[in-house]
Amino acid sequence: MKFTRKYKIKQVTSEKIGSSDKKSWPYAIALIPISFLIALPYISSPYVISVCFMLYVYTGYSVGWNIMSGLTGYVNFGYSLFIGIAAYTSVLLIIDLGVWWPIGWFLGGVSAAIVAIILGSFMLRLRGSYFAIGMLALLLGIKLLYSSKYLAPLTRGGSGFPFIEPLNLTTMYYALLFLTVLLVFISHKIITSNFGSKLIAIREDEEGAESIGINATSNKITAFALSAFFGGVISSGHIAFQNYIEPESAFNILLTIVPIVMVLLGGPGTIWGPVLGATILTFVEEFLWSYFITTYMMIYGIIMVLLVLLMPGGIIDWLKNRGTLPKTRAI
Amino acid sequence: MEVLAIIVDGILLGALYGMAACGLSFVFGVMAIINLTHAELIMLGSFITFWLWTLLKMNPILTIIPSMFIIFMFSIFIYKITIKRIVGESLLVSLILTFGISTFLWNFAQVCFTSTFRSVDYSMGSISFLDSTFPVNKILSLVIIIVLTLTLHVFLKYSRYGKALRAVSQNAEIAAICGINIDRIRTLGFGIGGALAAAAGSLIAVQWSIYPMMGHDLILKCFAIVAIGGLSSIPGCFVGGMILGLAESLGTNYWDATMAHIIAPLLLVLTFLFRPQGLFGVEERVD
Repeated sequence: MKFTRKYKIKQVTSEKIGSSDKKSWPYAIALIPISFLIALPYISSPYVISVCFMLYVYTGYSVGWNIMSGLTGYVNFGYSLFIGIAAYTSVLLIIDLGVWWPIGWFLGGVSAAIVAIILGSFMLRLRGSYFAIGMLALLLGIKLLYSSKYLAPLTRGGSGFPFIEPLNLTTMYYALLFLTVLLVFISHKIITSNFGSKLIAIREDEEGAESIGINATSNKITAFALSAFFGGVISSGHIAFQNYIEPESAFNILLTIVPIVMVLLGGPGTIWGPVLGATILTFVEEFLWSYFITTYMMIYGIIMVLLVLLMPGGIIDWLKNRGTLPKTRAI
Repeated sequence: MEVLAIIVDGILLGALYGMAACGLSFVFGVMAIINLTHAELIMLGSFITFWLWTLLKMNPILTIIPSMFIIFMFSIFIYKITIKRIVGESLLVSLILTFGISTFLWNFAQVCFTSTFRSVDYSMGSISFLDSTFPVNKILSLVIIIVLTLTLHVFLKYSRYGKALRAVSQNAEIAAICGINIDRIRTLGFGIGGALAAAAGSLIAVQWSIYPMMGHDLILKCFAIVAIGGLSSIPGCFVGGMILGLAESLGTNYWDATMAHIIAPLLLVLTFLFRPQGLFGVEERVD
């Protein structure tokens, strides 16, 4: 009997939990629209650039919301909280203290993340629906705080103030494009990593996850802080575009509702789900805006209801179940 | 005796809040659904009162009856097309679904009624005691609330449907085994919740200005009340309502009107952290 050198026992490389297939074809496909988007300011009007700008903003918000709520299952109804806090921080830093705008935006995101860590340390102890309502309560409370007289020296109270950051539309466009691509990339890394699988384990069965050694609290707080940071950086860009800041619009409930609907539409917990949802809804909104200017929020409500009843996993999940898309976490 | 007048004010306010939150608590008790459309039903009840008073010159106090009836039918309609399908599912599903319905409803109201503030200017004079005057409207509201609550209590305790509702809220499966048609009872429960909301809405229309987005402020207060009082307990609702009403009344007078609005979310978060089951609630059953 000759067990010769022909039979080498292959060393089984220990795969990390949840490492994805290392295919790179989705990224090659993504390069085509990205190069188109990079060229956009040179080939079209400021209106189209603004529409794309808002598309990036909402994609960023959706991706940020998804990192926390899509992966851990803790639905955050108070996402506008981080958007508003970061907006105020970045505006105050850039306008009042003259900080260079990328640093200002970065610090805006950091401030939102810090608030997330503080709030998360006690809010994340609450179970699902209590967390959602509690965050909504905090959102409304902090909005009131920013319009009250205690913070008025900083925030100029409830009526807000106008400002102009030293940026033009093209620069903001490229900054947001870069940020959005970066955030989608980071979310890909998170979702396909060990950390992502821990978050998904927390979503599926938190006690079970803790029983196998996953520290739910610290992982949840990290995800919460990341979600706040993403939203915060994008929000600094968003507010720079708006040139006016006031508590009612910075902490507006719509800035929570719209990303939630986008993520639910695209597919919560996936990478491209929020992007897909944001793209579809931005174009739907642009279309509706020209014909049904007053009713588009009603349509959002109807979409939410239909999604929950008919397609709870979103479009990506539906496509995966149909077999059109491979069932990996990398999509 | 200014403090006493403020306290009486707080009690009147608290009764109204308790009434508003009552329907939410009731619906949760019967079918374990957090109904975010509750505030929009209150808003619709207010607007029904307003339009009946404006267009038909009906006595605003009498409009409670058609308002309750219309919203009762409307809630049953909403239940049958959407909420029925998700009754067994997790609380989050019901949250997002009812959130979507409420978004639709307040925007629909905004489209139909525009967002101007409106109010029912119907005054029945005021009476004075304790060195202060109180509008008769508010005292009449308190009386109506007491009457409605007692009616609800008697209904739940002694009537067939009331007992069936209590049975379904305690344990739906056993209730089904006992021969109760739980689908019909849940429909009825949701309808009653809506009717209670409409009653609160009608009473609110007489006291405050109404506008399509009033639901946002109200839903938070209702949640705070239901959280403080205990999620499915009606007496808890009124206790919670009183606490919030008194806190807001004292807060408005001794602190600041704006900051008084922070009290509700603050109480909500504190209650969730330190006593999630509320004052009268039971620990959550693991069914």
